[in-house]
Amino acid sequence: MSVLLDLLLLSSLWVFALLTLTALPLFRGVVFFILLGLMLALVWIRLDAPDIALAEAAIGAGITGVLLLDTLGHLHHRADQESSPIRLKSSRFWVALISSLSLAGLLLWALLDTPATPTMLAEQVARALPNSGVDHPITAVLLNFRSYDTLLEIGVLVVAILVGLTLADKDSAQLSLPKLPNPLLQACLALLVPLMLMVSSYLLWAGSKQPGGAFQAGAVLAATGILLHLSGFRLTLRTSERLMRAGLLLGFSVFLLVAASALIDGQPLLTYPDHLAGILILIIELALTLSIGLILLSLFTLPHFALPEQERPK
Amino acid sequence: MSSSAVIFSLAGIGLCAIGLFGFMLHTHLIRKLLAFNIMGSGVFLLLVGMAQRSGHTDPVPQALVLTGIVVAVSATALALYLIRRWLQLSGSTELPEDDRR
Repeated sequence: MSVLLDLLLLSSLWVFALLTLTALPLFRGVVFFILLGLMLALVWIRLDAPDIALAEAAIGAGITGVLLLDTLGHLHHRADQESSPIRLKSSRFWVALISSLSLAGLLLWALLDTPATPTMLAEQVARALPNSGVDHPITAVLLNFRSYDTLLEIGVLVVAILVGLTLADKDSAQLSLPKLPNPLLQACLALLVPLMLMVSSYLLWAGSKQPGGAFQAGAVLAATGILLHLSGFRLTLRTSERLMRAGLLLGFSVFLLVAASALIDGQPLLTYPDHLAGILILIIELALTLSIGLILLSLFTLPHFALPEQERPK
Repeated sequence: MSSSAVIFSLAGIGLCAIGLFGFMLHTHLIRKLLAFNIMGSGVFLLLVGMAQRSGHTDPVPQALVLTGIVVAVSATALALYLIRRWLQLSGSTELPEDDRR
């Protein structure tokens, strides 16, 4: 029974992936891409990875989908959406087909070729878990055993925003989204926004013991912001720039501060003292949640607050 | 052996192949980006699926994938900024190299 379910999920993944790449117009392709993300969230649950399922649904399908749709709206104003349909007989098609088939072959070979001595990372994690300050193995890996990855990850987010800032077009008029003065929408918002904020804080708090954590909580926070932005509750340019700066600074600097404070004690970077590990991780997670929420929100709003140079506040 | 893990490793291989195919075939930059993201999802599935073949859940690749998803969304946003800027500067959603076929 469960094998059938898995096979059904597998075929739906492949079908949605193919539809993403072939469906015309592009808008339909993007919608299938979002659907693919939601199917992937189900797959992660089948793979016993509820943390990734949450992140995939909130970030992979949600935020990415919003960003793509937003860009698509931008394209619609300016250029043709699709200029070249797929040409079956071009050499490009055959080169692509042969490379993708050989990639599949190579990966299949890797899958069949099991290593002689399997590395049991799960056991090492389970052994070190009592000293990590949290009870959930994935949070322990993310924020204690491999916190270097997470530190650099928040750095990647910061870099993405910085590049976005440099590239923001200051010449063109602001492409503002129309506001939606819909009473039903406002009523739904009044119910949804508190709920989303509550879910976000729950996810953050749950992260130390069970699936959840800073990334998922931050993504839900960002989604709340985007929802408010889309339904017309705009912050002024000044406030959103300030919020973005706070987001850029907060997570990275708090994390870096905690990481570097170990150096004072003569320890290597990113070691937490055992008795303080839990509280330090909680502080980092709180800062990361706010920071990730603000950064993901800014990734969305950044193209919308590019004003002409003279109107820019000094 | 856990059958789910093997099945979804296969699914990951399929997504990688489909993604690479689309990435090479399409000239429209947003399609390329979508294809690239599909390939990324395939890699994530493969990473977790292959690690869990023995039937145990493994938190290390799961944490790596979690990091990967956030990095993927920032890379996607970055690519979208670049595409918008390119469109604004050149008026095209394709790269000039893609015209020679």
